[in-house]
Amino acid sequence: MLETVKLTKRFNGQVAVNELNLLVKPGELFALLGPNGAGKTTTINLLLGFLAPDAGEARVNGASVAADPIAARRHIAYIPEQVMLYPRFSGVENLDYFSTLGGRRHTREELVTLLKRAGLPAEAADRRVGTYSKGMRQKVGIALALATEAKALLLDEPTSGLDPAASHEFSLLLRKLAGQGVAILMATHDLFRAREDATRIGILVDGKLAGEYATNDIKHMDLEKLYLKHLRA
Amino acid sequence: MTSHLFRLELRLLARERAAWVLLGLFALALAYGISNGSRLAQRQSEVATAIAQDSEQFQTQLRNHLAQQSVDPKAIAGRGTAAVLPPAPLPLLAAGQSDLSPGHETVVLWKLAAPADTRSELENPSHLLAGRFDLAFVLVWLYPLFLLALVYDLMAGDREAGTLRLALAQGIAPWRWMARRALARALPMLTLAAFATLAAGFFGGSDGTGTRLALALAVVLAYGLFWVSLALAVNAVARSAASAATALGAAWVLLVLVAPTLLNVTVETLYPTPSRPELVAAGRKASGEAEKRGGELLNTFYRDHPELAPPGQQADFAAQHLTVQSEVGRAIEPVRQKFDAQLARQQTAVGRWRFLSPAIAAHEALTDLAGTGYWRHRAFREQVGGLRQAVSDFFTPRIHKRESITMADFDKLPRFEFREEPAGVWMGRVVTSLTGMLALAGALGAWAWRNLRPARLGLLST
Repeated sequence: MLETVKLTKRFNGQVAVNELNLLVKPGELFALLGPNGAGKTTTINLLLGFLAPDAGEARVNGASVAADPIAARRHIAYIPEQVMLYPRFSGVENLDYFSTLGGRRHTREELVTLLKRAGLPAEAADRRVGTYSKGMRQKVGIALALATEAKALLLDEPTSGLDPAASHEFSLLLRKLAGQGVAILMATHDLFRAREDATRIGILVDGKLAGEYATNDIKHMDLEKLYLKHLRA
Repeated sequence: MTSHLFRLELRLLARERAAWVLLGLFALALAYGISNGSRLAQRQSEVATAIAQDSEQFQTQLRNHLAQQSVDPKAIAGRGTAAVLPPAPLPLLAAGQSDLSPGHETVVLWKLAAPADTRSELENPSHLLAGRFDLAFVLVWLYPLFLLALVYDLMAGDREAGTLRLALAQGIAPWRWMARRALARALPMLTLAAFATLAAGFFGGSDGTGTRLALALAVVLAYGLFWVSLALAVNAVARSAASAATALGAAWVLLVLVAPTLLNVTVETLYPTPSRPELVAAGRKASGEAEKRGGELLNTFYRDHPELAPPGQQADFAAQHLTVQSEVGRAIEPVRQKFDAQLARQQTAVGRWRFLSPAIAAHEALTDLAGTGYWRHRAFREQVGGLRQAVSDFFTPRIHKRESITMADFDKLPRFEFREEPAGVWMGRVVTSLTGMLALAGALGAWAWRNLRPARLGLLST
């Protein structure tokens, strides 16, 4: 479960996140929409403990992130816009390395299986990551989320730059993870993917949650209108 | 988990071609340093052995001669008594003072007031000017550079490449991750340096040097640890690999090149060494004035060869020369004492300020352990001074009294046996250097640990 309570962050007096209240329950995929500079990435950084809040609190599984960021991160899997890996390592070795950093040890067979579950072609698992496309690196990121068996997943523009097929494949994987009870928070610009994948959508403007909707209640066209309306307000 | 991460870090390092090139170059430099040290040690050992053999041969001949008849003391005194500094315990580790200070001297009664010999073996002047490419040079000057080349971007590179965010998001304490990575990346260089140190002990060390070798190993590892800690501290705050490399390069220049030079200049300014020519000139002046009183040219000739003076006048010439010499000795003693005292003050100051740079501390410790440092050579010079006194005390009264040397005197003839510094003394200096280096490494490590707090590092990664 991911939660923010009146979470506030300022940079040089400028408010980036303004008393943000969010709750992403297990099995939910919450899409955080908003223009550039709305505070989406800052919110993710606060939830990861990369930034300390000026007020309020970020919680992961009920525990305060600021109090013990290391412990909080052990419950979170994080997939950035660009999953940067060690280019001299293969997919399997990268997965092994990063999951070991998180204190989890897997056999080679388990690692290969995890990459397969994430949709990486079997022949690519032992190839150096330097030869991977962005979509393949995102899949290693997903495999890492699977390896950590995290209860919460933070995604920062995960489908940006992916071709439609890769983006669709990625969405299927996310839905599968949500189906397994993972709480997912996805910051994105992609209205279509948000409407397709998310269970709830929040529109962030100037660090404040301007609107929150259940995706079952809105159509794609309505979402676009709502988004623009909040931006112009 | 820890060992698995360590292995993965090693594997990551092994994938870098540059790392293999650096390791190869470092291994070559170490081997060359050992081989250079070995050549110097062998040459010095040959000279010392030749002198010792010559001296032994003379003693045997003298004993045989004395068994048949007594001998004029002037003949024995003119032959001189050899003083030889025994081979250094770990000569391959560091040439130290051994290529500048003589490791042997022949004490001749007629030349007691002359300045001590400088080296008698031929030496390439460029070696004396630039210092030797010995193992200590590789370990003190080049080893940090090779180490830094492997650890300079412990984390700054990840920050640039974007892997830092993903790594930190896994929930490992940053300092744990960095400490493991630093040790894994430094391990190959530390291992090579340790092997070279051990090799210097096994191939060139004398018996009973286990403690020295163990301490040398500890010094080499502590010195390496200092540079790794410095890289860790710089990486905790550097925002890019380039800035980390620049900062570490500047630190190397400052600590390895500038600080020792600065210390030398400061010490030389505070305690200027009286020039050696001044010592020689003082001797000549005193000698000239003394000779004027006794003075003819013949005296000068008989001074060097009193045994050749006409029968009946030999003792007169010898006695006259000894008196002149004694006066010269008295006249130049203040200059000699000033010379020695200034050198000792300089070295004491270097010892006191060696922690300005771990390079100075490491070099002082390695030369001390090798047995080629200032203090062992100083002990040799002091003991040779004692031998000069013993030679004077033994022969002078006999020559004045015109007594012959008999078999009963054979065992009383002055001989030189070097007394090594008590182990506690040199060990104290080395352990202080070692503790200082570890303390500096610890302080840097603690500073890095403070700056590797999760929130601070997370902020740097954003």
